[in-house]
Amino acid sequence: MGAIVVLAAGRTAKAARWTALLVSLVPLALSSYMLYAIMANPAGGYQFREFYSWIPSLGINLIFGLDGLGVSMFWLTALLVTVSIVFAWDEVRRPNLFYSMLLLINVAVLGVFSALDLFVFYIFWEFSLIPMYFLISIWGGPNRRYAAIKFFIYTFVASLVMLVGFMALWFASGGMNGGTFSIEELSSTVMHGLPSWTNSFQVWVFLALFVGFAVKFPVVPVHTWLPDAHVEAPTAGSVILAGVLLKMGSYGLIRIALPIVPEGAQFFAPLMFVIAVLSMIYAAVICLAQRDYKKMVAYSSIGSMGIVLLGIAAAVQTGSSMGLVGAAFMMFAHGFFSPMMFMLCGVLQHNLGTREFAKMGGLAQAMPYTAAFLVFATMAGVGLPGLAAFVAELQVFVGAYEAFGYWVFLPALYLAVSAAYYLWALKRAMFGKFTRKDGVDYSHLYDVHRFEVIALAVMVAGLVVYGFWPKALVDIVAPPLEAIATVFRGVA
Amino acid sequence: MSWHEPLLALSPEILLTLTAALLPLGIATVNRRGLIAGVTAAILLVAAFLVLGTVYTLPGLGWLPQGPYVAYGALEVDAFSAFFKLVFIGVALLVVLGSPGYFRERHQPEYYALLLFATVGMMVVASANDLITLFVGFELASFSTYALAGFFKRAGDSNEAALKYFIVGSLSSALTLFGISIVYGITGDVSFNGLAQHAATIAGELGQPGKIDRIPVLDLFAILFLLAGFGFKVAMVPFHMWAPDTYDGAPTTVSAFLAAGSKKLGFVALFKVFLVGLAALKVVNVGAWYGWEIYLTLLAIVTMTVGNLMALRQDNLKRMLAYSSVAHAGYMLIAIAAAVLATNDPALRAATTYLIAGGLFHIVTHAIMKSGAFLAIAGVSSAGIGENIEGWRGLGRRAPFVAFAMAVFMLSFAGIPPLAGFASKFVLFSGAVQTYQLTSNGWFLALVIAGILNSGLSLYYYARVVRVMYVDDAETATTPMPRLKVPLSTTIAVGACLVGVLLIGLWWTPVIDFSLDAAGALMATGP
Repeated sequence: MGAIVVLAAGRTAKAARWTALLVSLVPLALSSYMLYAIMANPAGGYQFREFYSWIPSLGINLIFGLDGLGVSMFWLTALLVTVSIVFAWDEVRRPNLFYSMLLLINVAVLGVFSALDLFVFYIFWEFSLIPMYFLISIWGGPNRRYAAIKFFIYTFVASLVMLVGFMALWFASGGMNGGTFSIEELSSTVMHGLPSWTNSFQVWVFLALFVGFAVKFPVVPVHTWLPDAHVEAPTAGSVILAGVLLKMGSYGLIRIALPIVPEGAQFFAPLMFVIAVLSMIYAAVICLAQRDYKKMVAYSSIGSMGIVLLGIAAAVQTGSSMGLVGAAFMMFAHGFFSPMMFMLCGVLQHNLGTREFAKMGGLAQAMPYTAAFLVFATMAGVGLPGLAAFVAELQVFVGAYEAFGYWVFLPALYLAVSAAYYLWALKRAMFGKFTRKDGVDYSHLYDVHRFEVIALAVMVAGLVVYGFWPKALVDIVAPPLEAIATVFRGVA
Repeated sequence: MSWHEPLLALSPEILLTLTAALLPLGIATVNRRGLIAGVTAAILLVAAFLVLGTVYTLPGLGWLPQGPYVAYGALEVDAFSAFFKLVFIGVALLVVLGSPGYFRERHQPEYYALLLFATVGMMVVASANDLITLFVGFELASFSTYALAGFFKRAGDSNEAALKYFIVGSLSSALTLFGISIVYGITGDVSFNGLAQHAATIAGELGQPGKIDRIPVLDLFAILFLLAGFGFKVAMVPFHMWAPDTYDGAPTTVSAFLAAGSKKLGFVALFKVFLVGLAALKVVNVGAWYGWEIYLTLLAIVTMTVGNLMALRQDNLKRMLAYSSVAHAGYMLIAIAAAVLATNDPALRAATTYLIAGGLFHIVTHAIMKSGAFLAIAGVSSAGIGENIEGWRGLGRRAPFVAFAMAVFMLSFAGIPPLAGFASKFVLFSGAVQTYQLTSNGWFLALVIAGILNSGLSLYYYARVVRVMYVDDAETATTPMPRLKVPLSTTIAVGACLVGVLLIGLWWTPVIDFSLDAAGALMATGP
């Protein structure tokens, strides 16, 4: 585990894209092996554990390990970084720096998904900001400086609030006298039926953690950095941002906040439900009004993350792991269809120099391959049965029905509207009669490059495989999530 | 006690004083910059080992008396003083390393001699066991730095810097001295232990029937004067006005010395006087608004906020760093303010030690980062770019190493992991969080919240420097830009700071352990 991190970091200065690709394949290969091993033994708890003492006087240790939940995100990260390197094969502006930033993000996010020590988790969490900041601010769109610094400061402040929560946990567990940052130990004091912390302490700590995670999610009303960051980011940046960085928020909530301060989570379950529903409705309405394809996809991420939060809230409410499994599945599925859409937005941008619906129309005639992929991505986003997102939505909504009864119709409304805006966007961009619009430069019309096809095809494969064979994912995420959900059954 | 023991315990100071005195005499004729700097650096290195030897058993240095040890009743050698001495020597070493390439004036030996004298003065303050010794050391350090700030004799702004620094500094010395005289008038004692006993007596009588019900006004005046006097040195708001002008006008290496070293001088004094001498005077139960620790807390918050807000608007990098230095003074004040709030409560002893250790840790990391940043500016400006941020456009290509180091320093200032600045901020803020958890005193929460918001605020201008160096030349990427010739010696010094920032960030066990030792030693001398 440590080896991957060091390896990916050490080679980043190399110029060529081949180096970047090869380096990124190493963690991909290793994580694939880990995924395979955990699929073979899903109930084995944390596997591939690494333990190094780091700062003994403060009880900080380098602990890494993966369970089913971690490895699904871990593998997704390694995959998406590789894919985005392939997709951005023709980057000409400072390519060495560009690829090295992608690899640095890889290191940071892999660290987040495998760290089992809050302090280490935080370090990787924050470290992921720096390469992302550079990705947006160097290779981004016209308004990139504003977007980059907004992204940076917004998430930085939120993370600091989260860090205060971590500190509080550390001191509550003993501080200088044997306190611990270990996620396992902190979780287990609760799981073993020893709630040593008062209710109000748990509520405050959960609030602090939730602030940090919610901004990363992001959910309404702390989402405003996301559209800016996405719209200005280069395509590869958007892919990473939507595919894995957003998942850090939901992952942290499930992995850290729920098991460590369950009473706090229960206190906020209704609020989480409300926030989730608000995010979904808000996203749906905003998406309908968008004129820019990429911006629409960015806002739709907020809606999808609302579904994840809904699943989490449901599980907290009832203690059934159904919602959590759905949430985890949604995180995974969204990690395929959303990056795919961002890639296609990138393709449109390269072809036309614009992403505005008003400048498109009938492009299916001119760009048949792009159109085909876009139809596929749209179907996945809408939640067509047989594709991965459908499985996730089904589980989340069943879980939410168990928890909140008929209130679930509110978020279900989102599904209908989301289908509307996805399909409407598709229609405006691709179908109808192809006419040349003013102010659009058609000289770069090339449909898709071969390397772009490869990247897109990987996404298609992922969506289909996990759509038809959801068991592959459900089986590995269920045991750890079941353990987390059990806590809420007891106190509910 | 044999006659030579105190001499041995003070051997680092003696060594440096002798060197400083001999430099202008002995090597005055050898006007070779590199040689003089090399000799000075070597001597500083030896002194650093000697200091270490008084705390830890080092091979070959077994003959040094181990602290805690009081020499001549005036100078205390313990982990706390050794800690600060190492910081001061370290900063001096970095500045000396960075100087030859930047500093080409005449009178080379005097420059290094003054640096050494200032360092000795600071070391005396770190060791001082009473207010008079503290003041003497303070003045030695101050006078040397006044002269250093004006070392570019023919440059107007260097003269302005020195004059401003001198006038404000004299005023602060006068205030300090007046405060000391009041203290002596009240207690008849100037040693920290005597003060502590006096304070404890007052505190014990507070609120008892028939006794006094609040701190005597005269004591409050003494506290105020001392606070103002030291406040100038640490550039605490509202005593910070001199800092930007002085840091801007002084030779950049001297700015580094002032911001990274001399500023910490005020902190040593604050630690000693407020946490040891007068800490017992804080009032918790009687009349909340008489408790001056609350004003310290407010000062900490105001200082960091004002510093950061002013830094936002600066285009001159040295001025920006000066204001950021003010802001960081605010962070360090957290340790003092919060420790004062928590001190004397036996239940909070461990928490207070941790908090003080956080302050000390931040002082170390800040010293390294600040030296590095100023030296980077010195190096780049001596290559002809200037100190305005516009001139730094595209530095990422023109001087890759220095630009990278500068970027790391900036991110470290902001507290981005895994850099040194994050580690120390973490300990500092977590100390405040812990004390809040233990006491539920809202002021700690206010400190934490202010710290978080300020970190966000400061990220803006720190990130701006990074952006200018790496991002803003994207448009002009096609035009070739000449490489800059950054002096080798400066590059080495910057490199040393860079290594320090990265190393401490990745493995801070030794530093935090030493900080905890030092904080424990400070607490041990208290009442």
